[in-house]
Amino acid sequence: MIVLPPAPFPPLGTEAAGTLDLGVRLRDQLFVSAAVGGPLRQALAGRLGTAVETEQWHAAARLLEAFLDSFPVASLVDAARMRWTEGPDPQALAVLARAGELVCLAMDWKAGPDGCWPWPSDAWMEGTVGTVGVSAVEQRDAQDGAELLAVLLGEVPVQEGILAEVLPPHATVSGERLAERREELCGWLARGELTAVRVTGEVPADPATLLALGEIRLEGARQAALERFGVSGLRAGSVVDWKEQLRPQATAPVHGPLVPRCEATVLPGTPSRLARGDARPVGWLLWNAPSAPVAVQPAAIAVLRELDGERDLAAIAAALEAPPEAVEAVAAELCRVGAAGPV
Amino acid sequence: MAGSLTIVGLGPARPEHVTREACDVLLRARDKGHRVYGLAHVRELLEDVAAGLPVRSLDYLYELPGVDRPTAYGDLARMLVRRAFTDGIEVVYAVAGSPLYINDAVLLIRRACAAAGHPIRLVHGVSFVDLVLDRVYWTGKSGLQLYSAWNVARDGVALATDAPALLCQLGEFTKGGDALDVDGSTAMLEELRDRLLRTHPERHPVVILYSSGRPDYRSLARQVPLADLAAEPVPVYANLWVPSLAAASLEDQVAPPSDGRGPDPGAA
Repeated sequence: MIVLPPAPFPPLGTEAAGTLDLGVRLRDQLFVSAAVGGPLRQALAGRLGTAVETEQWHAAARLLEAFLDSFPVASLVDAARMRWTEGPDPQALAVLARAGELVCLAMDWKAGPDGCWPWPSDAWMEGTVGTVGVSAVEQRDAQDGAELLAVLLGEVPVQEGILAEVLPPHATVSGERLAERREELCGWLARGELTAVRVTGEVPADPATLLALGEIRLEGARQAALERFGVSGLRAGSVVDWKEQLRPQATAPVHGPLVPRCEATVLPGTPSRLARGDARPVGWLLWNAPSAPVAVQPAAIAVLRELDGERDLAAIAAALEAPPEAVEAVAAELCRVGAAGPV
Repeated sequence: MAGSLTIVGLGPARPEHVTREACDVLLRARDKGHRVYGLAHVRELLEDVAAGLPVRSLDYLYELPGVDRPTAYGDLARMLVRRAFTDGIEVVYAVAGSPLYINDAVLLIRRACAAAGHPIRLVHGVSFVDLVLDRVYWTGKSGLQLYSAWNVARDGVALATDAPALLCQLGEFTKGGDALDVDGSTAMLEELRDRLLRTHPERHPVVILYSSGRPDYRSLARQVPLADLAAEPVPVYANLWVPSLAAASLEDQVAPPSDGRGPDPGAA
C-alpha cells in the first residue's frame, strides 16, 4: 500500500485505489460537522477550562474564540468540504482553514511542514495506517512532510509522485536567494507569468530580503493565498474571511409564550477580556447555524433558560424574582437577535 | 519594452481638490488596467474619484523592521522605475498633495528617470502649502523660506530673519519619519523652539497651522509666542508659520478661515 502524507491539505477528490491518503482520512474524519460540533468542541471546552484555571490567558482567549467559532464552523464545514472536494473554492477553503485551527487547538496538534494546516500526532497517523503493509510513502510536494511520515512508519522508502492537479504558475525559491532574484521574480509576477513565489527555508531578516519579499507580496496575484493556505491557497487563488459567510439570525416577534431558538451558555469572558486576564462571566448565544455568537449579560441567559413555550413573561419574572419590565426588555432583545421566538 | 510611469498628485485630502487631469488619468488607469500604487492615505481618496480602481498598497514599506524611511523611499523609487521601464508596464503612482513638495520618493524617481533617459509624466496636485497659507497673509514681498521642521531643529539650517518661513511636518520627531504618537512631538518642538530663539525673540508670534482632519479638513491656526511653541503636542502634518522680524506687518497676523464657515474654535 502506498501512503500519502496529510499535506498538501485539504486534498481535492477522493482516495485513489491502492493508496491510503492521510489527507483524505484527516479531511473526512475531522473536517465534518459531527466532529467539529462534537468531540472537537468538547475538547476545546475542556482545554479552555484548564487554561483559565492555570491563568494562561492568551491560550484561554484563543480557546474561547475557537469554542465559540465551533458553532458556525460546524454548520458550514460539511458544505465547504464537499465544495472543496469538487474543486478549488476560496470560500470553502476559508472555512476549512478555520476548522483546521480548531482541530489544532482541540487536538493539541501543530501545523505541518507547510506551516498552514494541522499535522496529526504520530498516534493518529499510526492508528490510521494501522496494520496495513506500507510499501512506500509518496512525496508529491516539497513541503508535504513525506520524509517525516516515512520515518514514523518505520523508515519505509519515499517515492516520488506528482499532484493530480496542475497548479497555477509559480516559482519555488530559497529564502536566502530572494534578494538576488528579486528583479527577475517580480518582473514575472508583475507581467502575470507567475502568480506566486513559494519561499523555502529560512528567510533572512536583512533589509534587502525584507524589501524583496515585500515586493513579491505586492505583485504576486496569488501570493497571499499561497502564504496563508499553502498549495491549496495557490489553487484557490485568493484569501477571504470565513466570517463573511455568517449572517445574523432573523428577528422574531415577541408574541405569546416564547421558546429559545439557540444554545446558551455562560463562559469566562470574551476573548479580548480573557486575553487581559479578566475572566468575569459572560453569557453567549450560540446557533448551530452560520451566525456569529452574541455576547450578553449572564442574566439574559437565565431568562432564556426559563423560556419554555408555556409560561408568559410575568410568570418567568416571578420565577426569577426579577422585575417584570426588566424580563420583558431582555426577552424583547433576545427576540430581536433571533435567540428566542414564539412557539 | 514599452511602459510608462505617471505620478499623480491628489491634493491635500478632499476629493474636490483632485484636478481634472488627475481624475482623467485615474479613470483611464482603471479602464485600461494600468498598475496603480499608493500609500494608505491616498486609497480612500482614490476610491472617491475612481471607484473600483485597484490600488497596490505600499504600506508594507513602513512596516519592515530595520528599514528606515530613506531606505524605503529609495527602494520604492527603484521598484516603480523598474516596473515601468524594465517590465514594460503602465504604472501610475498616486501621491498625496503635490508630487513636487516634500516627497523624497518622487524626487528619487525623477532623478533616476532623468539619469536613464526614461520619460515620466507628472500630474500636479494642490499642495499643502496652498491650504495652510490661507490662514496667514503672505505678501510675497520678502520671499518665503520653506523647510521641514527637522531641517531647522536638527540639521542646522538657520532661518533668515528678514523673510517669513513655513516649516512643515512639525510633529515629525524621528529621523525615519516614523512619528506615530503625537505626544512625542513636544521634544521636537522644544528643539525647534530653542533653535529659533537664537535668532527670534521669545514673544515673536508664530502660527501653528494644521488641519481638522476628516471629514471637513478645515484649515486651523493657533498663534502662540515662540517661547510657548512646545507647550502642547501637534499633529505630524502640522506646519509652523514664522513671520519675519521686520516691523509689524500683515504677515504677523492670523487670517480667518476662508471656507465661508466663520471662525474656527481653536483660533487665537
